[in-house]
Amino acid sequence: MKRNWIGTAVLVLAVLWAVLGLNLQAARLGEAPGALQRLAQDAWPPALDESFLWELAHAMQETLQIALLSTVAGALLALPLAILSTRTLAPGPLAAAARLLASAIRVLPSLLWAIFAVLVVGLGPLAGILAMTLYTVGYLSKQQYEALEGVPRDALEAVRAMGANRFQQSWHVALPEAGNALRSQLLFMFEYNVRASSIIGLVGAGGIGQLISIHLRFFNYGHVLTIVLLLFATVAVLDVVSHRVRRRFVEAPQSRRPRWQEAVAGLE
Amino acid sequence: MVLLRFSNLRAGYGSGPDIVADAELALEEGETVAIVGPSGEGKSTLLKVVAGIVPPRSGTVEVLGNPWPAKPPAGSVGYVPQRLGLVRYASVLDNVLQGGLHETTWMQSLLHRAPDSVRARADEALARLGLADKSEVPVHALSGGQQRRVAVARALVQRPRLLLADEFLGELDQATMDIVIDAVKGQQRETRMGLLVVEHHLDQALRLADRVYRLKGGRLQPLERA
Repeated sequence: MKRNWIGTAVLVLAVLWAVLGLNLQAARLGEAPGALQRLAQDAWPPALDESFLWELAHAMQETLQIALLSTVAGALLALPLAILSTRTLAPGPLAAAARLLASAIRVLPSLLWAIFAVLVVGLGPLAGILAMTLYTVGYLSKQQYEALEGVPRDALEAVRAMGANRFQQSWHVALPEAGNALRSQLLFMFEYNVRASSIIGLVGAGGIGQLISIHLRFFNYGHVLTIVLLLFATVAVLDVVSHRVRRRFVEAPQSRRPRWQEAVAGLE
Repeated sequence: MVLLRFSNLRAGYGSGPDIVADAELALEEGETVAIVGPSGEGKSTLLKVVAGIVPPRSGTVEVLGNPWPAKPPAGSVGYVPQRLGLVRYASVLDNVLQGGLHETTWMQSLLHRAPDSVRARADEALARLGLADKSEVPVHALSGGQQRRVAVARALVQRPRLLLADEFLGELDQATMDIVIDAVKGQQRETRMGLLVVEHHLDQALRLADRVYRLKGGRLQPLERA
């Protein structure tokens, strides 16, 4: 009981420390409705002029391309790292080192990776791909090794006792057994990367974010509204598609081990 | 030739008490030994020590002349765990072919191709165990009894010199049990494989084994046949 009181007191003090320390000027919240109304008036109607729509379509395409390439490249790099990070598949010290590497990559959010990438390779989609690939490696490898560690121990023990080497244990047992989870994570990562690719454009790493950045700078809120609406629609469509494909992986007990082409062909 | 020998064997998990204490056994080529006893007495642990999965705390374990921690040659020891250890989302054939992984090159492994000899043995084992028409079915879609037969087929494809089986007859119906025993005993006659089985039911153990032991208090006690 006493411990509970101490915990609550610490939490209250921490919240007070944060609120007082930030000098929040909460009165400003009172002005927010008016500002929001002005913003809405400026943004409405959304810009629909033809040249802008073409520009927007091009930027959206670039965002999807960045997301696709970085998801594929990131996944290809993440999978070996994940296998090396899995304690049931790799020797302990190697697994610890691989996890350390993955968490070091994960320390930086995608936006900071994008800033570094722009500094290294200049403005444009290449920076975006580099940044998102690195972010994907850090994030996806963690998801993957957690899935691989969830593979039932007896399946690995059986082939290990039979004399299968580590590669065979990973390739013939762990990956097929965790396959559904790994595919599902890949789709989620693509979805995530589409959203993140639109943000990293704000620092010049290509894609739709770059367009948002330009129009925000010139107060073209009508254009920004159109971009946001398109982004919303794209993410919603991706969400539905990805949900359907993932459902096929996870909820089809009678199906054989699903393959990519089957999953895509199976879309209604 | 003695395929397996252990003496003064003590084993357990973490800092827990000894589950196996002062166990002693020798198993010859072509011989079947069964270990019976109630659940939780350490039968599976004993089998895992022999399979090289759980390290012994003390004593000696010699598998095919290799004293622990030296490993016997790849593919020489087969193991059917209690929960079968199958890849549920892979097909029956993929699982059965795992029995030949020790004969598979890196490239064949990478491409999920099996050497012709392994493939032929897999077809034969599937036919022996009545699974020929199920080879493309994913394991998770099979009944418990069928899954058990897949695990046995995988062990037969491996052609081990020593097969360790943890309750591999499980709760099989009589007909399926006959199929499994015929298949395993058939291979044992051909290859002189040694068989160490752990069984919960004494009647199953007696049907299968030349010698039966009861594991009690960590020790193996021979059971005399009536």
